[in-house]
Amino acid sequence: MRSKKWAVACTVVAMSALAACGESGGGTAQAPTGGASPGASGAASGETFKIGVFGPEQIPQGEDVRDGAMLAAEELNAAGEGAKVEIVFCDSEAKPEKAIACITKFAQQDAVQAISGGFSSAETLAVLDTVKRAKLPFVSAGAASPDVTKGVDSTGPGKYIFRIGPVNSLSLAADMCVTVTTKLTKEGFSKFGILHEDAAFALPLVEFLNKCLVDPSGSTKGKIPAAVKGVEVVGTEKHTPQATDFSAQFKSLSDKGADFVIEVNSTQVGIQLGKQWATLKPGFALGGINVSGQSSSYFDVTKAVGQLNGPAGIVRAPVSEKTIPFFDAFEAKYQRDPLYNGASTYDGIYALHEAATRAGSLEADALVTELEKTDRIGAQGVEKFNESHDVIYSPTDPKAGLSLLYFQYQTDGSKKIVYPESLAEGNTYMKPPGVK
Amino acid sequence: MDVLVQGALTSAVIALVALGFSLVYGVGGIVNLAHGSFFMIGAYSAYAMTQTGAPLLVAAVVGVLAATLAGVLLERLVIAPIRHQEVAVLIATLAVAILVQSGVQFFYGGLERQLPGFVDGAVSVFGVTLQQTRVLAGLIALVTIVVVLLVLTRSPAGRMVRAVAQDEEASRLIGVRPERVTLYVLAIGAGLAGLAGVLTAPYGVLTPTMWLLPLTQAFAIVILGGLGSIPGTVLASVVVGFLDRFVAFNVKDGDIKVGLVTVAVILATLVLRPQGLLGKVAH
Repeated sequence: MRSKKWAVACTVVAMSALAACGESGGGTAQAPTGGASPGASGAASGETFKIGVFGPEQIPQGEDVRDGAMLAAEELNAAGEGAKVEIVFCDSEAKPEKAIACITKFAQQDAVQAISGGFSSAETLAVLDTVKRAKLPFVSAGAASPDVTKGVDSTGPGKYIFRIGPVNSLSLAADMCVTVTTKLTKEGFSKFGILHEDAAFALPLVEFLNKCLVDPSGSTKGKIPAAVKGVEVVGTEKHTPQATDFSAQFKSLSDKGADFVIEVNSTQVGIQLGKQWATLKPGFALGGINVSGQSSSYFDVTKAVGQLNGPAGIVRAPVSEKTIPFFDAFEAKYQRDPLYNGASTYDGIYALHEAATRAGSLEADALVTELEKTDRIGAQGVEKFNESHDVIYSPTDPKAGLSLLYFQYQTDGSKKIVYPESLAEGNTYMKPPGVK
Repeated sequence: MDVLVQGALTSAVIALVALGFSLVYGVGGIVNLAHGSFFMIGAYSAYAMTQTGAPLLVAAVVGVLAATLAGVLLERLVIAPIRHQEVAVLIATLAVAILVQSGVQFFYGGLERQLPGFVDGAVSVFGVTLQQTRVLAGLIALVTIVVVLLVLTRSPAGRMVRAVAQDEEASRLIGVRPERVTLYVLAIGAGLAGLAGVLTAPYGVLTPTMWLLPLTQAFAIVILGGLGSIPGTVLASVVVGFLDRFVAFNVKDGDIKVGLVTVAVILATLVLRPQGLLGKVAH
């Protein structure tokens, strides 16, 4: 009996150790030193521009990072102008320590001249110090946390860090705030709930949104004008990225009288959330950031008629002259719609290649200097960097930076842009079934 | 009412997993850390079958059978040779669990998979709107538990199981072969866990780490109920299931904190009542 008790105690210890093991992944990444642009001596035709791209290959968000980069490289190499692009992909497994190991490998083994990709703020934030030490230009294409470009400028150690998409989560929050206060209130919604993932990108976004919805002008120092009075945030609920049951959160928000729930999630959890909302019909409308909701197969699984998706989604629409060609090329090659980071990584590779061509060099500092001058039209829209190397968000003038869009799932499963009106082609928001 | 209805459904499903875990410990004194793997094998096998175009019912049956077969293989190849070395069994079954996780990761990657449900829609139960697939899972689990309990208490096979659980050596004197009973119990326990995996897959997600939560829940339940006590396991399943839903519905950001429930139950039981709710006091 004593030995059995001991065995049970061992089990508890073993399980705790196992859980800890799962969290740490056992990876210890060594910081690279002195890996700056080996062989960087020009970007003429015939030379090879090696770009390291990392992302969690097992999930659609990571697949899109990889495939967006591959598509851009294929197009650039087919065009034959400037250096030949070679993508070196590294699977980060959605684990920060693996992402760090990817950067180390890029610098020390693969001898890449630049880096792009990344999905989730957690893994992107984790690699920043390693990127700085490696002194390799890094065009982030999948993380929204404001901290990615915090403290970055043209001269400091962070000068190698750029973000081409998505716009940072505070801008996403501001866009949602404007949409809620100026558009959704016109549809009769006044009591908003927030249901968000417990994730690095979501927390500052939700904090901002909570303040902005009730006092747009005050919380943004006048940048967003006070709009309609009477908007109320009735509750905020959190869920884990692995959640499978949202009935408690639905009930809480429904009981508080929410007529529209703003969702904020970037992982596969969005599928179950959308499916349960469509099945249970909790009485409120649903919309917001749901990255899974951008995929081709989302509606088939969820049947989420009337769900709003945005900002930061990508839809086959003339957002820029390059959006539809990108969308069609991606779909033809991979037989699925791209997610947001398929487009941003695709644009990131183009931006790097254009910078190398302008610089006539693959040397890191020359690339940084030219990246700062980026002013291009990409699949996402007009792409320019501000003084913090963050892509410029321009809600009102599409020529000054990235504008964001919102689409809504129709009864037949198609996606129609409803905001902004300039891209909506006459489509208007429709209330989902079961919502008064 | 939400907590009552959802708690009942949750309890039934987790009891399905915990029952097998408890039976195997009660009969063979085996703490099988690969028990959660049967849950995963059931779900992934059913998923694999649906990918070949097999009807859902066939896929579900294959899922349960695959988990049962995995239980047989585990007992014959891993546990039987080291059955009386408790620490070795612990380490070996943990190794198997990690091996199964790696295998699933290798074949399916980390991408979350989903199994279609037998039913797809909402239903109101005592005024609580629920996914039909969740209700179906709870009902099937409940019926299965009742059948297992009846078999254990009313059938000759059940008497053999209880005989071995009470005294292995004495059971030999009345012609029972404890090794054979352990094999059968482990196979049935694996099948029950596999069935739970198949039932919950339509409203959950399939990932290579999905085995860990049911294992920790089963572990908490078996400790709370009393090691090896079947009535205790059923009672503890109800306590943990309702506690889980109570936290989800009544605590701010309860979804985030629900995982702490099982850990808290383990710790509280070990400190306050080490023998569990219905376990015997060790002397």
